[in-house]
Amino acid sequence: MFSNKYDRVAGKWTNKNYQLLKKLGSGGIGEIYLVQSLDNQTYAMKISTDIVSITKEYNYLKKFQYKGVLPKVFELDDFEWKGTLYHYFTMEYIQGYTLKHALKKNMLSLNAKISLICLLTKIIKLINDAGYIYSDLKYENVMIDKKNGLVRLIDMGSITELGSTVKEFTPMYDRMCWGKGNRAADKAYQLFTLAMLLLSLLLGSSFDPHSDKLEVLLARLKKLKLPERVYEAIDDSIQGQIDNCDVFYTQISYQGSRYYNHNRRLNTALNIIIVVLVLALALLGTVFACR
Amino acid sequence: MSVRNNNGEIKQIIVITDGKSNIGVNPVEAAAKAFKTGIVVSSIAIIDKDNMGDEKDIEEVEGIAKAGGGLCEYTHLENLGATMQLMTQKTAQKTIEQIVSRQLKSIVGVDMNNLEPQSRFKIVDFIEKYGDSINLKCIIALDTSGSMKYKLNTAKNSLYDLLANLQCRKGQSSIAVISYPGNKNELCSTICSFTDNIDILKSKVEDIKSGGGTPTGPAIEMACELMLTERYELLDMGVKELPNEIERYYV
Ligand SMILES: Nc1ncnc2c1ncn2[C@@H]1O[C@H](COP(=O)(O)OP(=O)(O)O)[C@@H](O)[C@H]1O
Repeated sequence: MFSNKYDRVAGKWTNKNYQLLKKLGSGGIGEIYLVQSLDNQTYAMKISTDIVSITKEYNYLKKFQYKGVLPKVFELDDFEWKGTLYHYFTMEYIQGYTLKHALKKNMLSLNAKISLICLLTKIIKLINDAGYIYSDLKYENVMIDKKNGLVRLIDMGSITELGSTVKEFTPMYDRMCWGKGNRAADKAYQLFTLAMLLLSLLLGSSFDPHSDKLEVLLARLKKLKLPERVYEAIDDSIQGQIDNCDVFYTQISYQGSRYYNHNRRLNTALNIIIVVLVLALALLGTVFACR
Repeated sequence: MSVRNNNGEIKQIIVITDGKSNIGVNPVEAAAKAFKTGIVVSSIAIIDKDNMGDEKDIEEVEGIAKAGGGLCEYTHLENLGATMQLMTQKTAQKTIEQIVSRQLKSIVGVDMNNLEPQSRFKIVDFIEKYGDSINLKCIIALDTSGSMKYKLNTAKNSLYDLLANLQCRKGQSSIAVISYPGNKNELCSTICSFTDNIDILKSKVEDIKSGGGTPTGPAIEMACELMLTERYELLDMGVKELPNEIERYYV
């Protein structure tokens, strides 16, 4: 939309004044700019001509401020530009990179991946509990804050009321594209998106429902020999058998279960051997004693 | 706030094509006529690697949506189902926005743009809720010309997907299908009258075959007529709609 780096924007209702510094990205409903206010603060500004969508998104951003996971939002306002009315809101500028970038650069350890999904599950549970789902969960909407390494969720455009229909989605995370159900906005739909995100993180690649098969992907996951519970959480969610963030969370956050299982089995085996040895010795002892 | 749109339902025709029309009335004019009677006409152009749509095609597809007050999208075949769904819902939303905006203007004297931002929340909330609960009637006019031969199966499946998804809405949704060219040398045929039943839709759509030219305009005209006469597939309506002869047998 804007060509000149030094274009200014002035809010019609609030009279706030900003200088546009650069374009950060664009998406479904508009464009995101890095802007600077008169007191030299930087913000991210979302600009759109779609009054309904932008008002809605602003509203949800305000509603779900949770432990700093979503960007802080400031004002919603309008401005005119070459005879067209635009709507904008300002939010905290997150200096960092999206999960897509992090993955490409192979920056995350297994533990980091799991705890990242755990955190996302928590924030999404909050959204679910309020009666909504976040249907367009994807790499591009998760950012890592360079300042403190924290996970941030951006883009509330896909928030949809539970019980209605999903309107924004990306095929890789959409259960219908994989033949696993419809686009009803229900919690099982939400868990499917979470499971696909985790599956893709763990396998280190993106998928395409037109050419990939879920069974093949799950088989690849199985080969990774992660704790059985993590595998089950993903498999069950994909099959539509989990519709509760808490269940998913508990199953995937159960760290080191493989070793635990392994050890327990080992322990049982050792115990049996010891008992057998003791018995054998005792037996031998009695045999000798009898002599 | 109460909203009254004739019968409180959205009427939409979606024209799906992979090329320019070449038989019958001008589709852009047909779309304009439909729009005048309160029907929104949107268009979807199917593109592929070899066919990104030449200029003439694009002009026509966009012209149809523009004259029909609807939306225009280009999509690859595999995304046809999703595109139709989004289009249907967006159209519902847009129509309601327009209605609400008009009402607002007549009650408060300003449209939403001139309302202070904080006061917009309630209205936006309302639009969103209403968009999902208003009744929807959608006619798909499907290009079945020769060039669609290898695309037809996927296109059929996307019709089933569309209905399955519309079924998740709170409001009632039914779809009808018109093919152009039609059966038995007709320019176009109603393959399936309005239904909300996937099995009925499947049984009707299954047999569609491809071949022939592209009479897009006549298909839009036929869709208008179907929309106004509101013919339903029998099973949907139950006994009420059975012809008299049958009723006589049972009385
Ligand atoms: N608060 C923010 N801080 C920094 N960059 C952002 C912020 N919000 C969005 N972006 C950038 O803009 C891009 C598009 O934003 P997004 O909200 O996803 O747009 P849309 O909703 O239109 O798809 C993102 O991928 C990200 O790079």
